[in-house]
Amino acid sequence: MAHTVLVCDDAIFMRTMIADILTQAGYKVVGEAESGVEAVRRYQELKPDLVTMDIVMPEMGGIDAVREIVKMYPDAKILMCSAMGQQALVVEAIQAGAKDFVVKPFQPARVLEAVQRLLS
Amino acid sequence: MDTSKYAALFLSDSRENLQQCDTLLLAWEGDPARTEPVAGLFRAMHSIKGMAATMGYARLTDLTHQAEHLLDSVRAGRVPPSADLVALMFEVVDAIGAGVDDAVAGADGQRLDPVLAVRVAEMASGPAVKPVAPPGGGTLAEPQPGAGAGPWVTVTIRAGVVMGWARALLALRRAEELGTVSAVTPDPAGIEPDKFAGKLAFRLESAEPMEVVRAALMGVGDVAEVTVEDDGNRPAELSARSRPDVRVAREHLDRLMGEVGELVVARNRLAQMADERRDPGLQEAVGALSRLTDQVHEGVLQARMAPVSEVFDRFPRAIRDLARQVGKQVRLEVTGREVELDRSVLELIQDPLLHLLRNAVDHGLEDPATRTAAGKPAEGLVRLGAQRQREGVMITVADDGRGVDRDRVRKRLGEAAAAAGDLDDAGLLAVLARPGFSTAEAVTSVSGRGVGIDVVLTRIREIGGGITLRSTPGEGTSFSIRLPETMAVVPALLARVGSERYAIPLSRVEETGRAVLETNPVGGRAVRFRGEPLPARDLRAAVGQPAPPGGEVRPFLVVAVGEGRGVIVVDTLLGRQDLVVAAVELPLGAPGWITGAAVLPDGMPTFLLDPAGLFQEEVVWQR
Repeated sequence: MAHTVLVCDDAIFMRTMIADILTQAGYKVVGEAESGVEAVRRYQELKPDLVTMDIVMPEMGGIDAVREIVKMYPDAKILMCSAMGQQALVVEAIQAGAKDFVVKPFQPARVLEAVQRLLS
Repeated sequence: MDTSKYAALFLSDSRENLQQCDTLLLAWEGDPARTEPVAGLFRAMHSIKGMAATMGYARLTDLTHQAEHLLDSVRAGRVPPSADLVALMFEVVDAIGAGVDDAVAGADGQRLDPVLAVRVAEMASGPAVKPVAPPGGGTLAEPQPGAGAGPWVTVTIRAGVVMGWARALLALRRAEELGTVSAVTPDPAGIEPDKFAGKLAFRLESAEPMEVVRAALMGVGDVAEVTVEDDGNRPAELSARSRPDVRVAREHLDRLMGEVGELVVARNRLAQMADERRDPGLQEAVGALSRLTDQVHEGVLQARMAPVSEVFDRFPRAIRDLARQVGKQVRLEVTGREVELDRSVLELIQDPLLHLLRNAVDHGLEDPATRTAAGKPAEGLVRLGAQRQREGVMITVADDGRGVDRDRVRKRLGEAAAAAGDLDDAGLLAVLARPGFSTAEAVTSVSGRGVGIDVVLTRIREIGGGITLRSTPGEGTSFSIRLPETMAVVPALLARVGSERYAIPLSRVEETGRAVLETNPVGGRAVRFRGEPLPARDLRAAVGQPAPPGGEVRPFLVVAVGEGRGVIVVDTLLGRQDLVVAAVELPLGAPGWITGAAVLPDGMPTFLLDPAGLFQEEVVWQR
């Protein structure tokens, strides 16, 4: 069965693009979230195999969402999506429990590489 | 991928964000001390930036990036909120609005004033405040130098990987899952992530066999090598800071650099073809090639770096001599000598820097008597500094002299003064950089700030940098020069079709000529060149512009295509130009024969073509 993914980003643009990359590679995007609060709620609801998490989002940012999710599900596989030059935030996200990261602008091959690493 | 779908999403998402920005800005203008508008604006800029970068809109990405950085600085308290700041952000949001429309229309940056991004960057650098320390070790093991148990493990992150320290941290976490980690070097609590040199070492006491440890750490991704040293000795390369140097002839490096540039171009073309064929095996192989190419590129760039002291150290003598000659007392203060730049960038900025320094001494500084009368120390101060920035290097040339006399500049402008606006710093630079203005003899007596500024500005732009001016009457003048750390230069021939300019690598061009494009019997188009009919492509048609009336004599260039030759017909041949190929992602829908992008000296972008590719595909660039 295809692995399930929850895509979290406040921009529809980014969500669509990530979902396209993953769907084309055979993953099943089961949900999307556009804020940290929604990401936490959707995670509890869907228990996906993987989450892609934007760092900068309204309501609750991606890093706080990682903290919340990992608190409840320590084995959650969360892939951070970061812009260039945000290394300090990525480091913070990893310390909060994120398992890997990719850097925007996305190269589909890099995204899939990271997803495969996490799901293997 | 279907770009038209993304372009539409990009447009609607960006407009929605910009709409919010307007609301937020109005709220902020009402009360600059409020913080929520700043957070909202930051998110909006960040969001547009991410989208623009993904779409390959480099100029729009740059402006939104600068704006995001500025707002982040405000959020962090490094830049105080002010009416000026809010006004600048209004301007930025308007510019982005136009920029979004232009980018989607295929003319990224057309209406973007390059100076705006620089002004935003300037405001973000604000008053000097100590940088905030990076987040501390948190859940990570505290380093215990010399202590700890187990063999030393060294993890080497691939060269050129973005966010190498974050990658190393993932390896460290993986190691912590396998056993007890100690003596982590470099210290995670103290490191500045962007200065991580690529090697992480620690002691690991683990029940797992070392082969398992090694495999687990390699699996983190972007790890080049994992070594385990069982003798309990700290790895030599980390304890000893000295590195053996080897002398390499300059021309070898230059040739290597040129070849790597071509390699990148070839790689891009291959990647495009692999994407089109949707062959997973091919895509994977290209992916591997791609990473290796990036590493080689990074490696060669690294080998070309040199400290700015190699150029800076030549100036004190020249300045001293000049000061004596013009009867002034000058102290030259040099900072940041250790900052590194690409050698070719360094060489190219030597003359412009000397020029600015000479101007500062000759015209910027007053003579000792005037200074004393104005209550200043008789000795004038000229500062030359280099500073590493998030992207690239900033070089500052500043004096504490009289500043530019704006009234006299205005007089000199005469009737044009009204059109020049209120001569703020950006406006002043624009005026001083006018070619005609700079050579005018009268200006030298105004302040001397005009002489050759156009030449300096052109040179800096050619290498992908920018300049800002700040001048305060009675306090002095400073030039801030933003430079890329490295550059890849491709000699190219520039051609115009319609209103756009395209660049063809000079190495691919055999000859040029003029002819009428004719339809040949096989149905394609041809140009008769020295009696021989050669296959021809009209660049106008390829980039989706309307065809010109037939029978017109137009310039063309002859290029090598496989074993044979082909002809590319254009509207105008503009001549040779050395291009700094920018590290930008190409637009998603760009055909395979678009292999790179560069910014021309006038600040407008251009695309680099692979001429042979133009003959292999009949693809028209749909925009």
